Amino acid sequence: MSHFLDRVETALRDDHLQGALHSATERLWSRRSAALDGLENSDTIRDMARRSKLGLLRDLAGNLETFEKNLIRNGIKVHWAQNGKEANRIVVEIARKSGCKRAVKSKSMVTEETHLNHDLLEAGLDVLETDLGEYIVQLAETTPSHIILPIIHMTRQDIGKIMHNRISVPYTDSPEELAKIARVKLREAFLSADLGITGANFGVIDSGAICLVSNEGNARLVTTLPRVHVAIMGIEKLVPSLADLDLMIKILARSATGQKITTYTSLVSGPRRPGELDGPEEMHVVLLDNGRTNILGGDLAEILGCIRCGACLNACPVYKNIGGHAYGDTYPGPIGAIVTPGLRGLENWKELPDASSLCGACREVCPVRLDIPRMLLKLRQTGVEEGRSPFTLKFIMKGFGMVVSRPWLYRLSARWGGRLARVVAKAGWIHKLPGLGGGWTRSREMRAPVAKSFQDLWKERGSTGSPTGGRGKNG
Amino acid sequence: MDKASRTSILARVRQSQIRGFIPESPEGLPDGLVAKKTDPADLLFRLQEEFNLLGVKTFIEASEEAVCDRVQKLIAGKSVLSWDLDQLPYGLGKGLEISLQNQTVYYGRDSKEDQAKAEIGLTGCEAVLAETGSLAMISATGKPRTASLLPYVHVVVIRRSDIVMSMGEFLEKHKSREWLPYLVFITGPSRTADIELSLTLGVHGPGEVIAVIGS
Repeated sequence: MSHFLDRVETALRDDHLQGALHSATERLWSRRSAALDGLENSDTIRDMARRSKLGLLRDLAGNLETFEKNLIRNGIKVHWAQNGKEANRIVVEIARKSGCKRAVKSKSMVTEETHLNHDLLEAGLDVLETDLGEYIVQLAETTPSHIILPIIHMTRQDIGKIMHNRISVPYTDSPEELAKIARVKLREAFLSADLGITGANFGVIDSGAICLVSNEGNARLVTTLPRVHVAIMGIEKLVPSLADLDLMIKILARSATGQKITTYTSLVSGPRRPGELDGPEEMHVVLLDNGRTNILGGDLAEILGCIRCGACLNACPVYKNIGGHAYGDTYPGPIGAIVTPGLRGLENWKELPDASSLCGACREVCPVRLDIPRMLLKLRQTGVEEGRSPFTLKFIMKGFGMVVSRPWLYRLSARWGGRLARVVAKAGWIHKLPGLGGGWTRSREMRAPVAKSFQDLWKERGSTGSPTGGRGKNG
Repeated sequence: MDKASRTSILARVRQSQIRGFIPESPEGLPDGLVAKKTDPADLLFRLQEEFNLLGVKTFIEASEEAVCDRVQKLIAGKSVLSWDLDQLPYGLGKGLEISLQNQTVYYGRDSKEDQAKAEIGLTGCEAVLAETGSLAMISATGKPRTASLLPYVHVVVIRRSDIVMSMGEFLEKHKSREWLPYLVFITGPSRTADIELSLTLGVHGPGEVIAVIGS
């Protein structure tokens, strides 16, 4: 795969992406603020939600066992998968045993994480994404770039072209027309599908049910029409009770899209019951580890409280500029910078924790108040301890330490450094720095230092330093 | 293989949950949310407000006959996917029996292909949450999920006494059930903003929801 910095550079040079990202994230951010302002006691509710999510991690094993017991009581078959491959294999086996050929899916990040579609197609099953955004992602053979808005990076013209080229419909760039086309195409698929695949927004321990939220209604169709339903969920996605679920629902949509509640909030608690004429005959839940137990055992355990609202993406000045694909894996944004190294190992993802200015906006907007900056710093620290910092960097930091601890040396190097910088600058901006400095100017300009340093000005105004300046020593 | 994975995952979780750093939560938080008592008149007012914001067309009728007339007008000339008639509130089924003879009506027992042909879905509901304008639908015999899902228009008949304030209140009532039925909260028409954040209705579920509230 390409290098993180190359992906960032590509994103930063893509004006079209920049425009799309900025307008969408700004709008989502302001809607979120308005929605939370309208929720009475929102601060307390967020604290309570945090307590609930983090509290259950303290005995996650016991909670999982209870959840499993209650699922089985409701007639749901439970499977456990240590990694993505195993989860996909379980789904393939379920399909084979029940003779399913055509699968429809509602939007699920966890199946992106396990690359389920790939394995299903390989096993000879048809699989179709039914969330409008994910459907287009699938047609375009790309990956989603935002947790809740998969095609935030595309314009309506892009989407019109993809639909025109892939499913031979007349070109249109009207969102209404495009949605109408998708409704018709996908409705056919729903009616002929025999396997429905979903993720789970929450697993409610005491009810033995999973909760799915969707605005389009595709999650309802997927859990209603096909005769078999499989839900795949990370082992951390639990809430203790319906009362806790109520807390989560109150903050999830508000943080994600600014709605009070998602259009459809479904509680699925088993296959169809005697007398019911719709709903699947069989229901399965696959509980997936895939690195989550590693996260739980370390300093980043808190991240397992994430409810995947995407608010931290919209708030993040880095995400707003580089977009989701630059993060290189399923989960983008601040949350992805922690989850990806956590799930996949830090080895190949050491740059991700650097994709943050540590401004703290993510912590501010997180509905369950995850301390994301703390975890990013922790990952950076681990990276350094594992020998990430090269010899040159150590050497430079030592040199820097030596210079700044000796005022005369600092003044001297600042003066000469400034002079040199002004020589290479054009109209006050430096476009390209040599050597290691090139990292800074690779994707942005640097302002040339001013001729008079702060220390010079300080001296001119008199060393007693009246803050308004100008009055001098005897003023 | 499943069994081995289960054992191994649970063992790892047991080790990890002790080793990992899980921050303490702030102290002094309430145990749960306490629902405030609300005047029934306020409930209806709040519900209308939310329906209005969601674009749910609302009719408030004073009598059972008026509810029946209203529904008749709304579904006239259209093909309908309905709950079993005896499951509709206000004895609506009886009232509609004759007029329905002149139009195509599908029920949950028909094939899903046929159900998908209907233009209008006709249902009651278990409860309505005034705070968010959400219809609580419980799946049961004679109350197919498809009626509020497949047709482009959904007409829902609401008993005024079934309006509650919040989801919390509704769930509290149902938590003592032996098992939770398939439950969905429907809040307005199906929507998407996937294309350039522009709001589009009816992408999968109904694009239009019409509420008829009786007395």
